[in-house]
Amino acid sequence: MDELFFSKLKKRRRVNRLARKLSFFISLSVFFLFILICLMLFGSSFPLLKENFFSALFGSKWLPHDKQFGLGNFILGSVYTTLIALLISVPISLFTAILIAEYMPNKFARNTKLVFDVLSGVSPVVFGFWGVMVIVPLTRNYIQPFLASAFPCRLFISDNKSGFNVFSAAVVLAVMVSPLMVSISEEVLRAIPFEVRQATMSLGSTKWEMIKKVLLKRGLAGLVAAVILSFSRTVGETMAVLMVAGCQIAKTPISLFDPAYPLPALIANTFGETMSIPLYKSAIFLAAFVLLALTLASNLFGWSILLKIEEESS
Amino acid sequence: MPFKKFEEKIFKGIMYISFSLLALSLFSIIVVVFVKGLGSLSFKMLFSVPKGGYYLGKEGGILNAILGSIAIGTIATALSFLYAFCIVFYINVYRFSKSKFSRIVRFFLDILWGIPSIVYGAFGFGIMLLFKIPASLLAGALTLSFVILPIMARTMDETLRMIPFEMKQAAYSLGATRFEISYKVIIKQAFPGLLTAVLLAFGRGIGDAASIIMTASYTDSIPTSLLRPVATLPLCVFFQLSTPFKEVQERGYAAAFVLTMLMLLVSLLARLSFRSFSKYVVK
Repeated sequence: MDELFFSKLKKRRRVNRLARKLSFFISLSVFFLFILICLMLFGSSFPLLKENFFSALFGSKWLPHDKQFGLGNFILGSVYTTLIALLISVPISLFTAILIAEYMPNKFARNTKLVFDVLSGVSPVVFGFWGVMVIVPLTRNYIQPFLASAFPCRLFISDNKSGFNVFSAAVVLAVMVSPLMVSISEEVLRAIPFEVRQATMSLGSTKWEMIKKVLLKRGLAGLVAAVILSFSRTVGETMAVLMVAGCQIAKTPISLFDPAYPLPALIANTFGETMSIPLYKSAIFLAAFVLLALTLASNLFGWSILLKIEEESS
Repeated sequence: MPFKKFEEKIFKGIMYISFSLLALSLFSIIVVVFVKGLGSLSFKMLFSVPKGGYYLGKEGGILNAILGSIAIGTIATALSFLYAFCIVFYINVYRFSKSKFSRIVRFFLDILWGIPSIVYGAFGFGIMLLFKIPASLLAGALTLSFVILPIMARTMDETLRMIPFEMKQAAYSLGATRFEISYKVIIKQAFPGLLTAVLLAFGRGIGDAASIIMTASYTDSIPTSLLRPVATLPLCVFFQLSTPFKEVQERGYAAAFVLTMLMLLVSLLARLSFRSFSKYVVK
């Protein structure tokens, strides 16, 4: 009886120890996976960086057959489309978040958020599809001619009349990222204690005055964090941008209606052609590394703000 | 009317306008997909493969992409489930949920979550170049499993953290080892949450294209082997839309429709199953 019990116990403990060790190493591998991604991308882009650090990152010449690889235009394209997207999305998302958090009844607000959540979970390719079907014709036939004739300046005039341009890409990206921004901003507003609202309202302010003078000031840091996190999400978006932004090499986008060629689109578009030229491959990996660095930096910055708020409120 | 009342009205109006603008855009996506997709949907479209020519074949449907998406999504979800499962059990059962180690693992999972899927694609592609592996279903599924790993792990982690400590205590007091607690107690208690995590990750997996455009490539035939390239719905939409032929574009519309329906269905299922299975959970 005792023999049997102890042999069983031994076996159970052995299994337990084995499971502990195995799962420990698997948990540890999350850290190594991250390091491996960084090292691999950096190592592969090193040949190009070694050749000429500045012209690789900031140069605007992209001539694969002359071994000239400047990511300048692509980085500019990424930042340009993302900033325009945020410019469109920030006011809309902020006002929507205020409406949901402050004016809507609780149950309705919850359902609205759920619907937004589900709809924003649709594949990025479907957003791109929508962009090609709706936004591109709209831009080509109405918005571009209207803005070009109403405000004839460099920002609105372009030779590119196809509708595939910075503006279309920015609109699609704005719609994609808005639900995320709404959800973070709404949470930031909700985290402000109810007593603050009571105290302000009791002084005779209207609801909007309370929002403008108290809530937005108190929640400012959190709202900034929402914008930064949205930036990081937008800048890495690939398929939608690839389908809508135009993607023409060796053009610096200046006007809203010029085609742009953001970094993710470059990576996705040129993978097949890179084999023959070694530095070409290197340039593509450098693009991926720049993208990784951009998203990582903005994520860390955004999280640090949110963390600070959490510490202050607790 | 005093100015401040007037101001409130104006800004409330702006809020309603921005809300409806956003809601309208999001809904119009579904409407466009429905209108375009239903028009080009037919029995032949769903159950035959494209005939002749990569983007040029005018005959045939999208069966290759539907099966390919389901295959790659299932394999990637299964792989990342095994991976995520070990991680979340280690940081919640073998260590305290709030321990330093667990917090560090969570932090790195968050970092991985923030990396765009095209970067995973480039990473996978780089590994494949290094070992001279051609684009295949297996390579695509592996890359995709890295993309959905943080989503799955963090969602599962949230459920496991909610499990009352008394429940573990009761099991310990009966002499159970941590491993036994994991699979006899916690799995049952966390089942709805785990299922939701798997479904959400699967939904994300079949919708993602950036990570598999280089690693899984594209083909016109039905997936038969792990070592052959595979077609997927998102890439089907992308490639077929860029052709000038009307008949080929129709395939893109149909693929967008099927993909959207599949993702909405999975998303709905994830939410419903959470509700219906949490009946059996001890509260």
